[in-house]
Amino acid sequence: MRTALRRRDAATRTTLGPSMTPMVDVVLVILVFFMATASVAGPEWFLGAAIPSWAPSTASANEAASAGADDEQRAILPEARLEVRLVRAGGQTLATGLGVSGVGLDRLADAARTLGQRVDIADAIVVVIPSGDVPYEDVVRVHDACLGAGLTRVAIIGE
Amino acid sequence: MRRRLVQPAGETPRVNVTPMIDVVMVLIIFFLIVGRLAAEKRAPVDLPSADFGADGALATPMVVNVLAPDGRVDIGGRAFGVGEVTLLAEDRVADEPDLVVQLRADRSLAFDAVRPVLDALRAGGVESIQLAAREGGRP
Repeated sequence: MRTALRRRDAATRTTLGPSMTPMVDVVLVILVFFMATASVAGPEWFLGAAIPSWAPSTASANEAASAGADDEQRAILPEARLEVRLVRAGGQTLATGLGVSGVGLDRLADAARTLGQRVDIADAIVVVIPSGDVPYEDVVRVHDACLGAGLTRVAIIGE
Repeated sequence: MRRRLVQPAGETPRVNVTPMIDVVMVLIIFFLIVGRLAAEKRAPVDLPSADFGADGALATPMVVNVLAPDGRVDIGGRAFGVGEVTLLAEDRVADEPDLVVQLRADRSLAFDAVRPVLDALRAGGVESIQLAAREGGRP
């Protein structure tokens, strides 16, 4: 009689206890889901750029950019076009535009920030004109510097 | 002794939903991952880094991978020449005027390798692109 009661108690404990296996199963699936989606998405983002059909102007657009820092009236023109020319010299990329000439990309970024602080240039279009031997990485870096300075309309055309 | 298969009186039969949820979730995950990989077919590109990017478009983009300076690009896991890129772009733009093109070019390439691709896209009617970059952490 006692043995029978003990067996019944054991059976009751077994059936009433929560089953961990399905829970662990579901939790693992959720874990795998987040791991997989994270690896597929990747730490990647995008910089929007226009690829216009017009050729880079030979006019003194950089003079306009230089003037933009001093003359607010010219800088806020809706069609203001600021050209940044990139060339490769001495193993580094040199930029001319936004009020500076033949400087490294760090100084160009500083010039862009200064320009952004002094005048309203949000509507201006920055045209990045790299020469063929400029590393693509530097083109993206200039684009990034423009975005950081508030110049969101960037176009890229070849020389 | 024969086991009782008859439901005891007063007890309602219960359906165990846990395995069903489990299987359904596995299927959802499978189709999500396979669908996304099939749509994008991201090639392993060493992207440049940027600090001020934005998330990509929600619509299905045309992903153009520029891996080498030989004038060939990878789109959807297949290699194409620059001339074919123009035709592909024309076809896509005809169907989707607001087509988003994501350009994934290797950071070590010179602009000479990327420019023909930009020209080909422009010739195909694409007016704006998204340059793919790694988030921050410029080396």
